[in-house]
Amino acid sequence: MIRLIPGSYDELMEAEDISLNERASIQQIKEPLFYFTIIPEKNDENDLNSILPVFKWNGLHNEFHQKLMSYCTFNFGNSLIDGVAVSKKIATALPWSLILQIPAILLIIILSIWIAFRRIRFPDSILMKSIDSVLIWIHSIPGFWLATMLLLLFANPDVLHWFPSGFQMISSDNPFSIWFYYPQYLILPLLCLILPALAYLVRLIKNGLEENLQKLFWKRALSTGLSYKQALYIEALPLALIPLIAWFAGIFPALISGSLIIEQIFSVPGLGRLMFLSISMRDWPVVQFLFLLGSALTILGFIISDLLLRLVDPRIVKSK
Amino acid sequence: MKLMYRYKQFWKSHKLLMLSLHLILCSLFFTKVAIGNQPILCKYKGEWQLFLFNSKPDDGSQLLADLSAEAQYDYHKLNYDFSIWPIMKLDAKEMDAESAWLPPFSKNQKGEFYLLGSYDLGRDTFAGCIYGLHKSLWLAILTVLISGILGIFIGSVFSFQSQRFEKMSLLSIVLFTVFLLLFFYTIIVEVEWKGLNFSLFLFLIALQLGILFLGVYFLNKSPQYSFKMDFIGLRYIEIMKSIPVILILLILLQIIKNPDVLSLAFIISLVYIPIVAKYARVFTLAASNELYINSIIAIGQTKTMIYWKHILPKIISDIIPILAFGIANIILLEASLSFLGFGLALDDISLGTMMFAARGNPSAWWVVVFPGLLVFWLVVTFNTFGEIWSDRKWIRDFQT
Repeated sequence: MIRLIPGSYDELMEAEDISLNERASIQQIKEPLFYFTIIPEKNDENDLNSILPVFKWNGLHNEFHQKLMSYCTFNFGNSLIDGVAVSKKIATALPWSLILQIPAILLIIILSIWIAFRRIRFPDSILMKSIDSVLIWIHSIPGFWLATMLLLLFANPDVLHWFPSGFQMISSDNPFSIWFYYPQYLILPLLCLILPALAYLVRLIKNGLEENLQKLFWKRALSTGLSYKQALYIEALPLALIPLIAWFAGIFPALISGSLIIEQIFSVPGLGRLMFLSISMRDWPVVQFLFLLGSALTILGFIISDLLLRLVDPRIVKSK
Repeated sequence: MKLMYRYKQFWKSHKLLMLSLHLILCSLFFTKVAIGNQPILCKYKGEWQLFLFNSKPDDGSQLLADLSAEAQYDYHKLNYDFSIWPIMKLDAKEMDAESAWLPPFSKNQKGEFYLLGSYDLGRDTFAGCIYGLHKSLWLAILTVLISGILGIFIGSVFSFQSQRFEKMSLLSIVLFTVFLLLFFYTIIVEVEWKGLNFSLFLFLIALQLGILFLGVYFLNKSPQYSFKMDFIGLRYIEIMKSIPVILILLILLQIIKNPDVLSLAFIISLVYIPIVAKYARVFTLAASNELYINSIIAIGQTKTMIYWKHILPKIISDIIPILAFGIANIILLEASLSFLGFGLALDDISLGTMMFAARGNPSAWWVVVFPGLLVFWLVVTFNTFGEIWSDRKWIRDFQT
């Protein structure tokens, strides 16, 4: 995976409009990319000999080694645009993503379990019958379209001006204070983050539970004298958690990529917006580090969700 | 007859869905018949011209010369011997700077009627919606075709081989390894040199195909070793899955800026292949452990015939809902990429680029609402289709 990263310098050279600042930094990069090269120099001859592999050992003076060493000493390089250290940039952007993501994740977990359980408890009520198709519709709404529509409806001086349109107004040193002082800023972005995930998860939880409630353990649980609601929240909660945990694997990378569009529309200066800006301005050190961070967090998420799944569902261990 | 009966039954049970699917089919193939600013078929000064597949007249024809000389590229000004025109004489790409950002149901100064208003540079929203629907659909379907074929191949062949026929001859193991090394070498050389000489490239491709063919030919030769190819596909899926999709796409779209529909389809299918391959692998593992495969092997059917006749059809029918959800996802992905300004070029009208253009004027709600509703409708249609197919209740209904 890391081997992919130095390759992006090629892309940098290929890019059409490179600013002078970047051009200067390209001049410094003349070292080979990896410990060895097998690709011969490019020449225009048409014979087969010109593409036969040539093995050449480059030693330690190569791009990959130096990047690896600097990453090992927690030196992630400087941004090409303003020269600020990459780690500092990410440290300033991370809290802004967190103030959106933490309440979103908590609300998604609580609401999805609550709605799915209500759907199972009251299968005959009209509201709950219609919720299946409503959820498919909500799942099909494009996230960015929902965000724009909400902005047009509720943050428009011509229609309804209930909420502020973006985070541009806030200049706060401590982003977490927004939770207490300006909660109205969070409502629209949270709605856009929650609704699609909610629609997806409620259906998964409901389908999983309906399958599992046919089994004997459920009759046993009901026969101990618990009410239906109590039995759901005590005995069936681990079963409802299984799809939630599978979804949980994708949460850490979603810090960077998941909220990219939402952060862009509501101009939240978080990690997603940082990623977007640095890609469009070709700020490759920042992109490299975010890319690496995203991949590492994905793998971390998979490991954590596997371990949690083992904890919640002991049947997985038994089957092996 | 049986197919016709099923079709009618499906119409009866899912009216709205079938209506939507037929509308989508119409939009795929008949958009140029419905709207356009040029004739579909015309005879001009003794020369026949067909505009279904290309938007320009043939080089060196009388029509092209007269268009540029007399008519300023306006097809309506010429006199034709014979011509068939589209149903509506609208053009999604026609620009008229004076009538930009008109609201729905309004006329401009020349008296031309705009059903759904206009957006930047005076382009018609209604024509743009129909044309954009056509573009987005073709993009999604091309992507799903490419990623479906390659993904099913990568997912199923390797896992079927390692599940059922893990023994092959030493010669073919060596040949397959040589093929893989050559394949990666070609890709690296291609990237490093930024384009190979074309004849050399053809030679390398032919060499690889020849080695692959020889490897398949020598599969049953005598020194047999156990060799499971599943790990190749599995490593590929794992590596691709660990990188967030939208990050790869954004970086790839920086290298190839504002691609056309076919190259965007290739780029998106690059990240969609592992997803299809993952499901194909799981379905193959389930299908190749069935009892009837055992009995077919006992009868003495060959490996390739088992794969083509018994494994592949089963996987394809299993994977159709995944592909339908895939079409829905890709339409959403294309719309959001174009909305960010990374997708198709702005003059290449799709539903996403229309909404990107709407960011220039926040009060123009009609440019956001109508393309968004179309995307929503497409995604709902494909999602419900996938859902119904994966339920497969309707198949059981027909059998009884």
